[in-house]
Amino acid sequence: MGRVVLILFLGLQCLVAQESQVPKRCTACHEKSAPPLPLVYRRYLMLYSSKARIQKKMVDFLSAPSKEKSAMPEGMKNRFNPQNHPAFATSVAKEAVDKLIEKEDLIPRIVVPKD
Amino acid sequence: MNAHLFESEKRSHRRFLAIYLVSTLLLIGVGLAIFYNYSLHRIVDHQNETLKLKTALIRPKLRELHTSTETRLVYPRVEGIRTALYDIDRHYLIGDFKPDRVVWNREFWQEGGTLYYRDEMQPYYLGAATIVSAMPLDKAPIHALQTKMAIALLLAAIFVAFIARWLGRLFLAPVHHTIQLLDRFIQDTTHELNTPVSTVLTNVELFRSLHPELESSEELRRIEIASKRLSRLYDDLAYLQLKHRRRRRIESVDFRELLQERLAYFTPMARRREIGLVSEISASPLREMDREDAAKLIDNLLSNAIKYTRPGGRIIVRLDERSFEVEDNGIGMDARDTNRVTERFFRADTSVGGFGLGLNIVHEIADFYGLDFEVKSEKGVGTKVRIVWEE
Repeated sequence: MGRVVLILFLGLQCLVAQESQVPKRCTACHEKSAPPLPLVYRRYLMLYSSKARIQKKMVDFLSAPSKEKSAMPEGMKNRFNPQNHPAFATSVAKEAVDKLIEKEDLIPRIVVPKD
Repeated sequence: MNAHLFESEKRSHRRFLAIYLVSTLLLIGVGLAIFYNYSLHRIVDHQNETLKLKTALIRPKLRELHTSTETRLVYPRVEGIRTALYDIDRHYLIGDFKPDRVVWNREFWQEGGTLYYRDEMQPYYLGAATIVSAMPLDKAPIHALQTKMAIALLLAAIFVAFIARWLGRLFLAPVHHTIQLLDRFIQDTTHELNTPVSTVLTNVELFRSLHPELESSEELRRIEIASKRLSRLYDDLAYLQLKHRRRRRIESVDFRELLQERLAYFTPMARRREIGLVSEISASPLREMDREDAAKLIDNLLSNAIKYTRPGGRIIVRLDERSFEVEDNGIGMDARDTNRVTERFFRADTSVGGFGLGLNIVHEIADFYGLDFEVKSEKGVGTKVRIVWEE
């Protein structure tokens, strides 16, 4: 019984670690040396409009980062070399992008004033 | 032009007025409708332009929100309009209203009393690719336009009515003159007819009394019948000319007695044409009428029946408490002629003599006394004329 509980605990730890790992890995750079994530999101939002399209473009980039796939302005591309961005498995990238979209989505933050 | 118009002229005048008014007003109406439509479009276009200009005001505000670092963002509102944002996949994002329907292939559209405008955005601030804005349609200028249109139509109708009346009178003037001449001619002829016809009839009577041996003379009978026919024609023409001026003496007329008297008068004429004159009299109604009118009514129906029944035919005269009826198996008429039978000078068959006055007189007498006048006829089968007294 104790063994079963231990296996479950370790498995859960692994899952939690993996879930929080991707954003952590993202923020680790994007808060220091890379463009901040809110800025990146707003750039993609301004260019691609819908969540589905943003997700597709971001996942495309994260799966195989390149200068061409990056949506950031030329100046930033030259400065931060997007081809050096680490690549992620599609599923991992998708999950991370979903989290990013959820966190940075602007619409829930907008309040519509009453008449 | 003389203010007095003959009935046929009045009818023509009315028809002309109706046709002229309807056609002219239709033409003016079409013109006004085109102008109204054009003006309405201009009003709506002007309001659409206002909506477009106001919608443009929201763009810089969306840009501000997109770049804002505030955690709480306030949706920008523009006075007088409502807006809604859609992403590029046409999903509703946010707005101060949510339209029931967006017409994606049109820039402007209208639903009920609301104007809508769809504006594409690039870049997509806040992810918005489309702004849909709405504004209530201001109906005040439309109502003002409608009032102007109604006044214009009314003034046009009044103007056209005056023109139509003037033109109608102008066109009818020569016709009126001709009819007046004809009428005067008939009056003079009628007047001139009276003396010789009376003389012939009186002398036939005198001749008979002086020469009783010639009582059954065929020649004398022919003279008498021809003179009576002329005399009736004179009576009809005189009746029509004097009908408004003649003083009627209303009394209780024994219709049975009068009918029998008139039948006796017409029997020789019918016999001569080998027409059977059958009477089915089942009542002796007393009617409040002028005796001359009652006689004229009977005479004209009998005379007409005899005139239009072929030799060997038969005429049935019926009288009951409520109605008087003359039925023949003569040449009959089709439905079109039956409808015109009461028109003065109308003759369904011009091969037979006469002036087309008989049924016109009967109709006028029936009208005067408020009697129902019914004519049923079938070509080649016969005619049935019925006079019904109201209950």
